[in-house]
Amino acid sequence: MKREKRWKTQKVSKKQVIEQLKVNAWCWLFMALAVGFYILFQGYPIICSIQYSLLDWSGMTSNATFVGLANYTELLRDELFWNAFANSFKYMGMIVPLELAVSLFLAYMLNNEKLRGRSLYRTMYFIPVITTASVVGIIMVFILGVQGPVNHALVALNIIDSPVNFLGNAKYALLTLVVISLWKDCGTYMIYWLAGLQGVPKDVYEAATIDGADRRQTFFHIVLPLIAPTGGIIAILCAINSLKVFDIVKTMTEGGPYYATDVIATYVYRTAFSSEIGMPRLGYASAAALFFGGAVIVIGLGLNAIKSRLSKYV
Amino acid sequence: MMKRKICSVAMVAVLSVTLLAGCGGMPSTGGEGAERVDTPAAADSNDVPEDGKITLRVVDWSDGSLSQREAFHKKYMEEHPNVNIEYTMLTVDQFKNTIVTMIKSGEGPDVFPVPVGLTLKTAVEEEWYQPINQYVTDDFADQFDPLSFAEGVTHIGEDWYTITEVMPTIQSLFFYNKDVLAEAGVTKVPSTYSEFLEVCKKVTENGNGNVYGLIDGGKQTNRMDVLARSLAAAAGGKVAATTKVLVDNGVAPYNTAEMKAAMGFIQDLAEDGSIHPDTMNISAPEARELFAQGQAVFLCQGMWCIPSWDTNYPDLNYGVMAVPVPDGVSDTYVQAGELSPWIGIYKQSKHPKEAAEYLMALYSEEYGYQSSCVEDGTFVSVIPSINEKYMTNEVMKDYYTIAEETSRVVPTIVKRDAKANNFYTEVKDVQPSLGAIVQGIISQSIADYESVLDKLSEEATIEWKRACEAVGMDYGVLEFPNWDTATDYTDADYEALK
Repeated sequence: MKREKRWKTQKVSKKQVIEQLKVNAWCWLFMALAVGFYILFQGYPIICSIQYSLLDWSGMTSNATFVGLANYTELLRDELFWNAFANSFKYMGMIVPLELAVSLFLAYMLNNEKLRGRSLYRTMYFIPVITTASVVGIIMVFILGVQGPVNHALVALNIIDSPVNFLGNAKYALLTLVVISLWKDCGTYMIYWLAGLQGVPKDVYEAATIDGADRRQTFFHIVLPLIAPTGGIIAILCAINSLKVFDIVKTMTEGGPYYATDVIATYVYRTAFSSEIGMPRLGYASAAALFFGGAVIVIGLGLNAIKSRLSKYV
Repeated sequence: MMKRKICSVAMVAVLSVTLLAGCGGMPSTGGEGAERVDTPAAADSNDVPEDGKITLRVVDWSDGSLSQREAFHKKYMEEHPNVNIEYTMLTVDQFKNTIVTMIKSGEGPDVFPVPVGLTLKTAVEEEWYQPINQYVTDDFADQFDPLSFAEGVTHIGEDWYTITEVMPTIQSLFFYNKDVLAEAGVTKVPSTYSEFLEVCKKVTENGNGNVYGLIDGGKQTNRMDVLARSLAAAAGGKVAATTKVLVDNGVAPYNTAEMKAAMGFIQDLAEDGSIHPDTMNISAPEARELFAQGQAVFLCQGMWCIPSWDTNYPDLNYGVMAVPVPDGVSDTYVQAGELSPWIGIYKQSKHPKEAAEYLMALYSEEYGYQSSCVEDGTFVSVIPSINEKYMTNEVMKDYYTIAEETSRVVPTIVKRDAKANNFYTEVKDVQPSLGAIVQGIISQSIADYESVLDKLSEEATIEWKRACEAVGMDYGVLEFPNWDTATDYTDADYEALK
């Protein structure tokens, strides 16, 4: 009797296993394409970068010398690498709060059902996102130039006495890049915030209105706590994207003047692909990219942990 | 449970193998795996499609002569209906990135130039090029200026690999806008630092924020490097041409009195507010445009500006002058242009014969590419007969004359020692470079440029010594004790050092 029962159990579990395998097979099948692309376009380059980072190699010849961790130790002494490292974080520190606040403000405004033409406004704010960054960069160089319209307007309105060299002066260059990036990218984050805001049930707004809350109170006491988890995700995305900034910097300042806007991506690009004397250093640039990548992962995990802790209190 | 484990391990193994298999294309770090398969290109020469039409792929970065090149391709394809030319023009950096990938995947273009920074010897060792001797005629070779051939640049021994694009001419004369000078009441073109500073100051004051003294493509460190080297050489310094290495009194000559004088001159211009404020945000072509629009009186660039202005700004009233020198200095010269390796035929090209025919047409008078470029003022051709016949542009003639009068051939280590090719492969850039320091001075980010130059000189000396040691070359090769900057450095001078 006992044996028969055990046999039955085994039979059932086998069936379950087969069914589970079938489900898993479907999952793997659906994921196969994504996994394949990941291996091709992410996994393989990462593996290559790890190997390159251990080589003294220009990227142009077939011969490379294995140097172990020498590239990493040299990085630690490289003032320009640390300058770029610091600039990347300065940029992140400036743009993330601005990006989050401005995009949330826009999203909250444009989430108002009573606002006429809100689709038009949403499109308008989203247009810079779909504009190529390099094109934006080139145009902005002229718009913000000393003889460009921005300076003309500021002088004409008596806001400044003489034109400001927004990109050519080390004092203003990074801040100018932040403002341009803010204008260019806030449409993306506005869409994220809108998705979060639209997840807030209507009855919550109605209840708040019945309780006499005005629009500001509703936002700070009702809406903000409800969309905080979404905000955490947006903050992480924004922080990681800002640390990867390249195109705007490359087209507008090339990391100048005198490395004032040099971020890790421009540092890596310059080291990997150009040199004034001798050959470029792809191996060294790979080490810099991996080192920074590691730092970004650590920061991402840290931010995620903070987000999780904060969400417990909200 | 066991099956699941086996499945997991298998999957990890498959993934790992997939990843590691892909790494087969990585660089060799020496040892047994470094062998390469040598496919004789000529064996595939008959690989012609059924319709009999072949495609020649040509890639380079000749943006200055794009319109002439397109006209040439059109004419060439009309006269060679069996040839389709697929021409791709990239920037220098794009080319550098792309060509390596193309060659590694075995899909290199049929005709392409040697990337900046790579020596011909290294490119040949990497099996990028094949000799063109067997494909070109003697008449073709005879038409070139003998000075356009050089060991390590066009030839390696008896093998001819590349053709230079142009006769080397200095890239750093100063263009001036005659109308802007006249508006400021300036009648004499400046020749010394103090005169130049005075004129720039006067023009800037007269311009009321709309016109400045000097403009340049400050975003490009290579242009800033050329500016610094030219000014220092014109001040009497022993400085190598851009991208090259020479030492003076055993050290990298970045902190010499002449280099410091040149940097001081740039700093004076910056402090006077005479440098166009957008200089730091723009590249050379943009600076060229703003100069033509009358936003600055001086621009330090090369001959390639001339055709662009003649086409786009026919009313621009401009001239060309020598690099200014410090007050009281005379009989000094800038570095004459150096021959650079240019275009050659890919070793694995399936159509080397057709590629050689393309090159012969590119350098012939009949197809008009060389003649139109010379006529427009784009460059001085490596074919002397074409220069004699077509060099009619007055500014170009002035440029060429001033360049010849104010420049001298400087020694090169590649000509002195074959190991210098390996040195250039080994040596690493020291940063902040000379070009970056000029950027720092113009943007007023560097106040004490002397200590920055001292540091660059010290670090460059250490790096050059290390690179010499690594390739087994005597550091003394970098020094030319018999070099007199007032005269051309000749073969006899090289011989005297042996």
